[in-house]
Amino acid sequence: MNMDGERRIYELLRSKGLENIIVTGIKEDTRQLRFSNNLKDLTNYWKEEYAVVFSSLGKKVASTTIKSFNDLEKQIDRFVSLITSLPENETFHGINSQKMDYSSIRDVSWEHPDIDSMAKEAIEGALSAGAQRATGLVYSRSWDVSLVTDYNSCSYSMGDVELVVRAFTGDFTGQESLHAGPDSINKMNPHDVGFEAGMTSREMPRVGKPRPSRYTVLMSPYLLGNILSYCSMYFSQYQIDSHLSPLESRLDTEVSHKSFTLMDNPLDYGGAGAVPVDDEGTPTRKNTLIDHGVVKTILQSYSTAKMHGTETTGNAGVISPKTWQLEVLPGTRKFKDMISEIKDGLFINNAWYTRFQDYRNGVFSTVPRDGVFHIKDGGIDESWSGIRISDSFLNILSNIKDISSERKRVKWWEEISPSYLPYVLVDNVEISMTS
Amino acid sequence: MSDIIDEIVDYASKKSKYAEARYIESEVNQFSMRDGSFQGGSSSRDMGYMIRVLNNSISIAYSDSQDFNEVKEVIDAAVESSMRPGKDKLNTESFGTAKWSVDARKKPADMSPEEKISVLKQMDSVMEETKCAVRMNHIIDAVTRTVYRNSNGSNIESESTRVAYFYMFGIMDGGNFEQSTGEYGSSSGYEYIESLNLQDIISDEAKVLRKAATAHRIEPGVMDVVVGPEISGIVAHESCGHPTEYDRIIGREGALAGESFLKVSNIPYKVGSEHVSVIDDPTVKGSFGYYMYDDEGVKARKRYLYHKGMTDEFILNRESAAILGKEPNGGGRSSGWDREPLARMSTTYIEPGDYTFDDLVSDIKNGVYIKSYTEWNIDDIRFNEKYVGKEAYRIRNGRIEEVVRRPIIETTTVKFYSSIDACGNDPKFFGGLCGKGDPEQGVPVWMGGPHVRLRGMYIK
Repeated sequence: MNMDGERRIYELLRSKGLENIIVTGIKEDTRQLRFSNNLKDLTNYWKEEYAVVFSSLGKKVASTTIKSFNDLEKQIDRFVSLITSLPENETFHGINSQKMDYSSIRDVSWEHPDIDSMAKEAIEGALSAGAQRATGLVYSRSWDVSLVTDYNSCSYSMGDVELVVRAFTGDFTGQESLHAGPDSINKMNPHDVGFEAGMTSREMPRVGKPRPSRYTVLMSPYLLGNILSYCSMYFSQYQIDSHLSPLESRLDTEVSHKSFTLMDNPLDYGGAGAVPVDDEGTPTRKNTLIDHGVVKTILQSYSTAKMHGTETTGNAGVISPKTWQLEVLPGTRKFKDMISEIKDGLFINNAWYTRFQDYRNGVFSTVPRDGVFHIKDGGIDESWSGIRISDSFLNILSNIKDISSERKRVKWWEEISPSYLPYVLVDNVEISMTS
Repeated sequence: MSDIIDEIVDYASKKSKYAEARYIESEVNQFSMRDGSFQGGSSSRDMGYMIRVLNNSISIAYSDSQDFNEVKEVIDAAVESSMRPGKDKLNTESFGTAKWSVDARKKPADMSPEEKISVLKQMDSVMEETKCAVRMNHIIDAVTRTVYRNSNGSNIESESTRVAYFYMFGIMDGGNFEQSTGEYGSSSGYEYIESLNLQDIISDEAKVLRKAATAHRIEPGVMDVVVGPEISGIVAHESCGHPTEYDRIIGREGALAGESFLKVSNIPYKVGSEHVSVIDDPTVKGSFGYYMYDDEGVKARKRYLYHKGMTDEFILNRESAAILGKEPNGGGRSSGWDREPLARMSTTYIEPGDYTFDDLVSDIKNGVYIKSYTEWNIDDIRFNEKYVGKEAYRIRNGRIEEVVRRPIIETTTVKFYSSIDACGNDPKFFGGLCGKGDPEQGVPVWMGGPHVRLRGMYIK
């Protein structure tokens, strides 16, 4: 499909009397290499082309995906028949009707890197650090987007790369990942990513017996990324309207340390979360979610903004606004200095399986992995396993006390969305363990 | 629409030691409602080909084009990549020719959107009547047609229908919040939704959670526990099904969903007491994960994963079976044409025993009955796990007594299964989407089992 294809779909929908039409054509070219035990498992090649359609009839809203122009009219007729039969969505207030300026959208030309070589270098990096085996994957993606709405049309191209390496020394593991957009693809060094994962897997000293308590925890960008990725939904107006966000009624309220500033930054083309326009054609922008400890932005689409008497933030999902790429501003402390000041605490590299027993209050637990160390008098004392962080989002935010000057671009599977984050030192974190 | 599949297999096999192709076409409808307001509907058709080739290594091409020349382009790229070195073990045999389908009485195509949405409205009304502060309802149906061919003569075709319903509600009482989510799914038509008696399930649960919101936490200590089928199901899935997926045991998923506490070097392994067996069976009619042949054209069958406390069979796809040196056992599944088949579960459950619920409870002096769960998680080798009770009651002297709030089991796989001394005769099953792989792919599964009694567990 191309802009002509999207326009054709749009005109057909329009001719049937539909309103608030958004047709988004997407053409993807993706390749992936997966490896384990130092060898390639397989390569995957995807080529896909489709159009996502959103529309309304009065306050009735529906969406569909169109895969081909064969029987297009029939597909449109089915869609019209569906939308006609639906009840109204009382909370829907239209799509962005302002004429947009797309002149700042960058022209990205993407050339796929050699993913075989990248995987090889990453494996060699892990082994050169002394790890016994390495597992992971490399992605290279490119995609073209053409968007047509009742009020606007634009198109853009994008590409990104992602590398994940998990290194094993016996049963001990270390994991690193990296994502890169057009501005940082040339800075990627797969060998270093593998090496660092390998080093973490080797740094495991004697295994200790965990002691559940509240600790000062130095969180790596991966652990912080996991918690922020799961909790980023809390900044969405949809989540707040669903009464499932601890940030409800906390706009302009202090929730964290003065040095903590969290942003949603889709205009950082150094990362894999760069997006120039949102799902309804509003150009995206950098939004400060928490500014020096104070909640400053709740994410809006045009519809949610209209309902709440405010402006869109360029974060549609039309129905449910979302973040694009998280960023925490760096602090002034060095990672080494932060760890050296811990008397009795933990350094945790990564976590997974974050689940909530109470979405409304942000109460969750998550399982640390890939480097979990007890720190005593400023040095690594022993490694722990079988523990959990069992705490709440607000408690963690309010107990941040230091932020590193070093930052990493982290992304991992479904657990960490593309982010650019520092290390943070958090007091009073509840650590539970298997009994 | 799968007109060119023979041409595809023929073309790919001329350039490869082995080739297979799978065409999947699906129609999915879904509707959602929040706090009494209908949110929207969607209806989509998706279709495409997956072509796997084997030479010096394995490569897979995915294309949603119906133009053979365009499909050839991705096949050529995959073939070229497969000439480079890598792992090259893959079971390539044919499991013959077969057709299978799901019996659906109330087919999605015969139901109007209004009829489907009426289910959401009914459930929202129940939630409103029980004064829920959060009300979310979602319903989905899917019809999937699959054609599988390989270069050794296999030819499998299928048509399946699935329906699923998901809810979430929240209760506020005394300044406290309690939440509940539920997921039901089946390979059948809308007759399944009608059979569930959802109004009573939601209404009863809301009433109990209102009590739980202001109930006391349990005094931590060692006690006997009876867990309900929802918990025995999630335990069977997380700490038996996942660790017995053989691709995890050999490290294939190490950087993603993780590996397994079971190692090639420690099998067979005593996991639990002689009173417990866990089964995975794709052929349970009506189950959410039902199939007769898997997504690699291999005939499905029932498998004991744990048998009387010991490891038994593993879940195998074509790749992991070849590495183990065994026949694949029908565990190769993927969520769509654009995902690789991995070793996956279907219906995983603790095998029922002979005990009634009253038998299980009657000789517990000091304990807790945890009927269902809210938060849960497990580490990446599937050994350290946590389940937070949603609906739970104190047991004293063989009697179910007051509601308790969020009791926590935080234990190990071996401790959990070793503490089981009796299994009930009352299995139930719950739907879910099991996630694995990158890109992530959720496949429909059932998780279930009977009430199960555990002795001497630490509860907090």
